[in-house]
Amino acid sequence: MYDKSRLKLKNPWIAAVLAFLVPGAGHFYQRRMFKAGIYSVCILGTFFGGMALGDWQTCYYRKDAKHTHYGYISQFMVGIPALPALVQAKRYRENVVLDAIPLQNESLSGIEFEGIYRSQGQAMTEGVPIRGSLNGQVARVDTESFGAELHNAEFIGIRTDNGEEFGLTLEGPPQIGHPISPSPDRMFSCQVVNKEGLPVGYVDGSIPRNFWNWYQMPLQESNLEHLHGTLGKRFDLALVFTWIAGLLNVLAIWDALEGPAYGIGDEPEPEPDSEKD
Amino acid sequence: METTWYLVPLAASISLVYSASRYELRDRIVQRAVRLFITMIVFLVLVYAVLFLLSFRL
Repeated sequence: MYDKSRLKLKNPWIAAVLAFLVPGAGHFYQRRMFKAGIYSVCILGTFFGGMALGDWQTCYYRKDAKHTHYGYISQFMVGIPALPALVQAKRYRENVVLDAIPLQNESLSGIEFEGIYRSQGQAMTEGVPIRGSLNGQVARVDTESFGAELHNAEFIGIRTDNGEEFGLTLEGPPQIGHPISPSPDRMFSCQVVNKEGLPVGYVDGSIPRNFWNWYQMPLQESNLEHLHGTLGKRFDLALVFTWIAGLLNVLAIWDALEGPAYGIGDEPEPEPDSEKD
Repeated sequence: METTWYLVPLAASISLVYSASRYELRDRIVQRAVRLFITMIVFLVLVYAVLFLLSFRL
């Protein structure tokens, strides 16, 4: 045991709480700047590195009959960066699980859309890739059903395969993803009509979801399948990064509370075991 | 990028944080972290080599 009186830990409990909330903050409070730098850069770097590797969907809290994400126990130890997951799990439960009516009146004006336009009769593998912005309104038909309709809706943009300008008039009941969901892409598809109002095809793609409506939302089976399908083992590695970041912060919290485990670092090296000879 | 390369910054991060939680002095932390990092990388390379040999021509 080394002489701990050589360390100035100020109020160790305040330091430990700060170290939990923001990795490195406890050591910054104790004026142990070098360690504050190591902890904040390494732990936050590992956590956000893992988030970036997993398309920013690796940190989430979920506990229900089908699935419990035990990894969140470790992610939680990173502190503030992982705490939104608790709020998002509550929002998801209140808005999606308990309230099954997904559609609200909302404006599509200026919302970016990316997807495929298919004329009638075209197969799923065919179609024109398009990107641009939408205009118009999605209106819920009545509050008792899932029905909705589009008002004055149009698409203005380009064909992404050749850059040609492209415009479409949209009509009919749209299929639109719930505003709150773990994925940053919100599904959107609807019918396309000509000037006489006759159906000529449909668009199928996605619009962006508001950041706070997807970030750290609890991943569902379909989201997990999609992430494993698109990212493969990179998603597993991303999860491991965020778990390790949390475990590393436990070491940092303990260091803020109790000081380093072995010593200051200027103690003499222990004598080699004489019995070996 | 091959996912195996992501283990290098991860090993560096673990080495630095672990060593920082053991000692207080900067030089000692860096010295221990470098040693631990090299040990981890050598161990990972050995495991990789063994798995590569075991899965050769599978």
